[in-house]
Amino acid sequence: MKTIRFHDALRQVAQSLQRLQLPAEHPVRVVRDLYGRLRFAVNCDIADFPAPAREALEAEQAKLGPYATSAELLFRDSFSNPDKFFDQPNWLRTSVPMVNDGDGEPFPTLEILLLDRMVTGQDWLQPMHADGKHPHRVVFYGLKGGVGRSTALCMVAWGLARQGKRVLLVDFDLESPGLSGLILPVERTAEFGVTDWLVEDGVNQSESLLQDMVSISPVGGPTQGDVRVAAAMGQKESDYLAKLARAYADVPSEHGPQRLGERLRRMVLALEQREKPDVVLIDSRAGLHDLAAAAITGLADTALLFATDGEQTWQGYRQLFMHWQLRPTVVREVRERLAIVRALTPKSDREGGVKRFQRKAYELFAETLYDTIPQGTALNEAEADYYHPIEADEAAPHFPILVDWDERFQEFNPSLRAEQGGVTDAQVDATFGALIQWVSQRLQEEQV
Amino acid sequence: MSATGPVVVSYFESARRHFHDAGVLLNGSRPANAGQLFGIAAECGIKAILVASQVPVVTDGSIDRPLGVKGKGFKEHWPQLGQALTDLAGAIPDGRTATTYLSLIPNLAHFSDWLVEHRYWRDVALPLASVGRWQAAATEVMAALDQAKEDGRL
Repeated sequence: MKTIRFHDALRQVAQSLQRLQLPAEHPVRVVRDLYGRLRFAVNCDIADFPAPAREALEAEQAKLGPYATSAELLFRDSFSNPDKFFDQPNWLRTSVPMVNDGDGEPFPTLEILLLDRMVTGQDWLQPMHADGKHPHRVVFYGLKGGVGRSTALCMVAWGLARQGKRVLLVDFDLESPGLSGLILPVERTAEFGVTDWLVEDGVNQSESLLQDMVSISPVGGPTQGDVRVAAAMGQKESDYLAKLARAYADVPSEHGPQRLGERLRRMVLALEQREKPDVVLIDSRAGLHDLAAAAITGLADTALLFATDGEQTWQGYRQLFMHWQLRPTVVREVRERLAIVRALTPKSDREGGVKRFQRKAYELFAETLYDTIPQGTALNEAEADYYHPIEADEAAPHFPILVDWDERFQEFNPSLRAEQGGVTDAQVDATFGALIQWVSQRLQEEQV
Repeated sequence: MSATGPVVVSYFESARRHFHDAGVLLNGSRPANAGQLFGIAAECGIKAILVASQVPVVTDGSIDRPLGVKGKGFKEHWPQLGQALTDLAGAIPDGRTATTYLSLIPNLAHFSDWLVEHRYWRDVALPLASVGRWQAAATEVMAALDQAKEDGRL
């Protein structure tokens, strides 16, 4: 008998639900547990569900072997508070792609209502609902590190401060705390950092920390605005790893446990209320990490996705986008916040390289996050009913914002003047001008 | 306890049963026994979480006494059970699972004035003003069990 693997199991239950004659008045849902095992759930008491249908589902569940959570189906009677389970927002209509038939043709994708319980990464599927009451938040994210993300953030902060903006930087890169080093001399770093806030929040005393978490960066010094920084780590830190090891814990509250994403959102809101910035720039951790999920899905009004033209980068972004693609409601919430940044653009064959990058970015978005327009749809109808920008659309998420490769920024110290080996304003504009301009434009559009 | 008999103990089922019956008694204006059952329900629920966290059980399914521990260990009643959870945290094999679900129950201290011996007490001597708090804490335990069920750990 063929061994059932993780991805086979979900296909198998989707096919079972399509094949079985089940009572329409009690739609059957699917729960995937922390280990990837599955079971069926029905929002009625067991006594109200026809016995033959229950037995058929039990038989299908048993066929999952090690990928069945147990023999038991879930009904309302399985829970003390069934409404909390069945009415939670984590139930998502989820597409389940099928394998190919004998002729290599794919079977049609099926859709199920799935509650996907994960050990980590839950925040990728919980988009923030814009409430319009906070300053614009721009998240700087790179799937891979080393693409100049933090340097770009520093330059955008300077560029916005030059326009008179009050800028707040928040460092979410807790496992590589470096933003503060780039933008703040050590002696000017505040006493506490984001990691301290998370630890103190665990014992319910984060409120009193806020006043000692933010410092003023010299980057904003010569400008009309200012740049303030909430660093990952405080100034006189002596036990950072011990704190980091506890920072991601769920914290109990009156309304149930608060997960990392919710806690970070609360922290950013509190910082915004205290500092009253015009714009918040968040340095996200690289990789497919919970901190990135919290930043991109849970906080960003705009998420700048830094990328170089490498296969690893495209594969990683594809996996992330496909994770969203399977949940249409999540895709619709997330895709228009995204913007690809072509980082470290090489000078040689610049035009050709940018064109190739743009094509790959377009293909990636078109195959995952943009709507598929059925053949034969009239152009005006397609524009009205489907979100699918054309490749040349400069305002589209896939259209790359260019940051050039410039060795002067490799070991860059923003506090040095040009004659000390630092860089001039013109050099900053030459490399980061397009990105600064793009972010400024996005902020203006927001105000309108 | 049988040394070789079938598994007859289910802390999860007994927690749900006692909690349900406590509610029935409370609605029937029988707070004294309702209070006793809320405490028992919470004890059973905690033990269900401990079993899900790989605390060893004997053949009938009931929790074993941790090796080298004096006293009843996790077989204590309230309020000593609360202290055992703190003192013996290191004896829970899957501490991460236990922490995940115990952190959903912030008010276990509500059982500080609950005693299993209350069942022998005179009506007027019982701390009936505490029944509401015992109910609240037991409700948190039930919510933690619901979550463990959703997660596939029960």
